[in-house]
Amino acid sequence: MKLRNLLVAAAVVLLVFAAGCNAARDQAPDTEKKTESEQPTAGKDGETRETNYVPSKDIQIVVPFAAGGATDIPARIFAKYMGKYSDVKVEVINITGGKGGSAGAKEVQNAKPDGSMLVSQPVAFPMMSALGVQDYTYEDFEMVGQWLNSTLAVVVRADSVYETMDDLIAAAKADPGQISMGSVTSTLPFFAILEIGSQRGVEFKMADLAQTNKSSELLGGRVDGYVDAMGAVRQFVDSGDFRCLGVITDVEVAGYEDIPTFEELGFENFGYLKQVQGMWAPKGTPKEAIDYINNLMKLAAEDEECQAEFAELAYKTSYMTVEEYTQFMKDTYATFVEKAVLVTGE
Amino acid sequence: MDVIMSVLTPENLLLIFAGVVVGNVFGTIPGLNAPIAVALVLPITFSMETLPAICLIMGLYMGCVSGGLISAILLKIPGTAASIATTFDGYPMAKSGRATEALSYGAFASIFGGIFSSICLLLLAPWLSKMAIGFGPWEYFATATLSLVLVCVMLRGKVLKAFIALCLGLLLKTVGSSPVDGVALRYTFGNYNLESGFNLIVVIIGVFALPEIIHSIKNIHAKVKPMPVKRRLFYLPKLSSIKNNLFTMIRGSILGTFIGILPGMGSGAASLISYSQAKRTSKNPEKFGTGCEEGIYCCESANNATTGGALIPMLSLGVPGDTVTAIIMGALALQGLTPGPLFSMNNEMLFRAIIFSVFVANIFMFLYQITTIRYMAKITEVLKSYLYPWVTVFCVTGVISIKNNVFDLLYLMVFGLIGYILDKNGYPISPFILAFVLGGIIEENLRRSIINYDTFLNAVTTNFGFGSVFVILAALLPIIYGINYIRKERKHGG
Repeated sequence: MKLRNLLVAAAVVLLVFAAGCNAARDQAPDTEKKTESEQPTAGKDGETRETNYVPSKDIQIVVPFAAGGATDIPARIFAKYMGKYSDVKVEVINITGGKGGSAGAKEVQNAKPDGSMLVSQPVAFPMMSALGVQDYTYEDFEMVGQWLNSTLAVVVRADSVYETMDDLIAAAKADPGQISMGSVTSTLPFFAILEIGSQRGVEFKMADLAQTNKSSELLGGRVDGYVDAMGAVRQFVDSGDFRCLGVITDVEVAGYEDIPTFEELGFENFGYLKQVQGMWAPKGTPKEAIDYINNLMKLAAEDEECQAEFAELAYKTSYMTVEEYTQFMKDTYATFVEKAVLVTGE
Repeated sequence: MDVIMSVLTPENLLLIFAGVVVGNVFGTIPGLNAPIAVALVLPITFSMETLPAICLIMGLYMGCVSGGLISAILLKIPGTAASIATTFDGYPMAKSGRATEALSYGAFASIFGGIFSSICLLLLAPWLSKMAIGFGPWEYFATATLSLVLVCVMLRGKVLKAFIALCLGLLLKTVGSSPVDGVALRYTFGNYNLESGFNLIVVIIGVFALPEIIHSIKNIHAKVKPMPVKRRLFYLPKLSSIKNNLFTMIRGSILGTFIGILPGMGSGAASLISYSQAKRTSKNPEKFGTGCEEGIYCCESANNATTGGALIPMLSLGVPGDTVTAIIMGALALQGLTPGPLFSMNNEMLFRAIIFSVFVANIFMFLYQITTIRYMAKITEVLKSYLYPWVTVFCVTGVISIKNNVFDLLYLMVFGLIGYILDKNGYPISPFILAFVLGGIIEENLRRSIINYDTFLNAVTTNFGFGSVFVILAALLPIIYGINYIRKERKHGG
């Protein structure tokens, strides 16, 4: 009896360890790509921008992440202003799950293409697709437009020896792989650190931070610095706990004009490191419906109250025409495929 | 004074009360819990003023966390993860005909823990959050590991079985994609549904509710003796009982507040750890599990204390202590407010009003619970052949409501079977569930520590602090126990 118990215990322990030794999954994604031959019939002759299109159903924006999160909050604000200019209600629903928000995207992909359901596209979509985690791209949806722009910032502790970005780079050069920079692995800040490293020829130690617990790692001095959205670190910069070494954008952030931008710091090709969000509709959504929603997004993005509410949280509204946004997505996907090498190292 | 008056408007009070009542219902029903309830009302709060919105959410939060004790005590089915440990003593007590007593102890311990932690929040928030900053991945790993070891070693006479149950919990927690990088898929057998792992709520319903339902089939038509329920308006615990357990509750509240501060640990872990702690230090540990008052006081004070605890890092650092506070942070952001180091200074009135609303929510929660005990206790008088089919329906709908995924039901049944087999063969369930709760934290933070310090040994030696001490303790305790055990066996044999 005793022996049997011991044997059971040993077997279970072995299984637990076996889990730890599991080999990395075969990364090769399915190469055969289905080319969608169905073209939306209405899309051919959508020359006139102003049509008499009137939506018949309320518009639902699917946020593929949890309510109250960094993706959800601006979407709810923006939906409020889209609703202001529309005859129908514009509401946000959260469909979470899958990897990098794939469950929400799938739900919209399979929805009826009548312009009543959209998915808010986070930067995770092109990123996860490039890493082979998601099996859909912008080509499986109709592009609607962009609406949000937010900036990443590089922060260190205010009492650290790194006064400028150059100090940080010099320290990393002197001590390769020892200066630890934090990010949530495989998110945009993670790419940002790798990009800084590759442009300046230095190597950082890539510390992994918990999604909700980033600031305390830096406050506790367990990382030398980290990269996160400006809106999230702003409070600490204001309170004098953190020093911001640079913002990953080409235009100065309002209220923080003294913080050098990445353009001023001499970085190149960092355009893909912006936390932008757009809207996608199911494939086959009529052109009139897309133009109607794009127009709503334009009106909301130009609304002063909306801009003020976004600025309060260190976000910025953004607007792109359907064509601009489609091109932008094409470029973004291409860039991430290229940059995925930074992560996989192949 | 202005702060107090700003909360004490009829509108705000009504919202808090509504929140408490709805939260209690969400808490009682297995599968529905605080994050779901708060996420559901979030869109409603968007159009409200800041303070009423906070009042509603706080009411829900407090109501949910303590609502779980009702089904835990009366049915041995924890309504939320927070009240897992309440089943251990609450149910035996209810079974012996003292259901109203058990409920009143639970309600009192809840308000005690809730008020205690909100006082901590008011007075010590900046200081406590500084303490939380000292908690890095290595310390998380160490604390969680030591908790598991303690729960195992504490189960005297059953240590090996407890260890097996614990490893089984850890093993099942590894199912899904690996933490940190998400690259390796463990034990998914190519099934897409398994990639995100098993949901904690489904597992809890599986190992607690289903075995109980299976057990009840045996004597489903047995007549239930109606319990002598005195018709009283309020059911307060006896003063002597409060006096005897004051120390237990204070300790539970301190533990709960501290665990609440640490992001990710959660109220389920708090109540389980508090339970094992109380049992270890109690004068009569043999009474634990048979329906003793101490067993209810210790875990219900701890799980409610996590609420104030979780609010501390959220309000002072912008780091949410649990899922609910993460959503509350979102609700504040929707109002244009970012919690962080400057929040309490820039919005001093609101900061105090939030704490005061927690206060009021706790009081309402207590009043609501002690007045409804009479009706709640009636559940035990319902014929099992009527009651359990309904419980089953609630469990199944609860599980479905989590992700709208039928696959969850399949593994609910598997976990029901695991729970039944463990229970039938005398394997304790608490190490299993605690391992499942803490397994993710252990693995994730071990990996982070290894990234930071390169090797495990480096992690122990560099930055030698309480983290390293905990790890060494966790390694030594089982060895010491083993040696002691062998010695005792020899003595017996010789």
